[in-house]
Amino acid sequence: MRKSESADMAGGVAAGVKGKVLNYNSDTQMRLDKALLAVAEWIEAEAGMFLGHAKMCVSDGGEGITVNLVDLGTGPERHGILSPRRSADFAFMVAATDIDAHELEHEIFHALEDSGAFLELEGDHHHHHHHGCDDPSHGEDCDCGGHHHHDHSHGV
Amino acid sequence: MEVYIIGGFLGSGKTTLIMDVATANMDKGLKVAILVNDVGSIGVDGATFESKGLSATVLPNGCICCSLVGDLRKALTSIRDEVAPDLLIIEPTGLALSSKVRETVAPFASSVKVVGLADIKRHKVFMKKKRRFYLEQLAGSDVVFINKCDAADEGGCEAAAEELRESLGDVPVIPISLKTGAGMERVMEELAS
Repeated sequence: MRKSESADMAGGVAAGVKGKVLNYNSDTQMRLDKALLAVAEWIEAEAGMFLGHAKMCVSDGGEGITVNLVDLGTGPERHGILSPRRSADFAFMVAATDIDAHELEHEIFHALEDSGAFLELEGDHHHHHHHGCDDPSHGEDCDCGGHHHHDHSHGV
Repeated sequence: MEVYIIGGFLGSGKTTLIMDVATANMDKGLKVAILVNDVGSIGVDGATFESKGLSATVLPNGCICCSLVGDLRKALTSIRDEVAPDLLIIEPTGLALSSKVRETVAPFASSVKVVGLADIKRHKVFMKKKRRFYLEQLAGSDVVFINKCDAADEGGCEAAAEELRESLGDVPVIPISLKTGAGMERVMEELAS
């Protein structure tokens, strides 16, 4: 996301991912809906409130389904229908306030990974974990501060 | 080329309103173009419009009120010269300030109407937690619609409308529901006026 003065003023960030969803059917859509909800619930836990918008579109050849999530009480709201198919285009994005953009991106990837849906996502996901250092190659003077980077592609 | 700028916070119903307004104007025989701005590098609205049979120019990864002003000018030039629509509907990001978008758009348009869309379900939260941004985002609108009034407590929409009138000055503030269609005639009247 390019630097935006208005987004800074609102304390807002955005992250998303796109690619293909394979073997799409109603079960797949339910799994993707749960992923959307999981990200919004994470935001609420992090920021104290979900002030934003999570949405996705699964489409193919001019036909598609959009799912919006604005209110956790209401839950994901579907618009349109998409019949089962071997493959469809997929886009998933979340914009919200008072959270870290990098962590949001991370959470999106993991929610999709945990969904169990068959996805081929574009691009690489850059993991950035903070954890206690238990690497035996790091000696007593290790100053990594438990700060490790892992880069790998997600074929969720 | 007439231009409508439909602004409002994330999740207030901008995309739904644009689809309704675009369809109504196309049914009247007008040539309608849509320009949608996504704050992130990945957008969903362009695909949403396409899945509803509407085509849209998408400007991702920033806000057309600040970081993407140059891209907006290029897109406006292209749409005006190559598409030549009767009506262009612009959806800024939910984190953009519509009054700044108007400044960029005005030289390209025969008229510009800025619509602010508020969300009654989150109005109180915004007034408490994001007051400065929320009011600045709606400021400069020619009309403000308060959406989702079908889900409001009795008198909630009118109270919010009064609060917004006091904060924004002499601007019409009108309760609507894009879900039920309540107030849509008034929306069309305000946009056409």
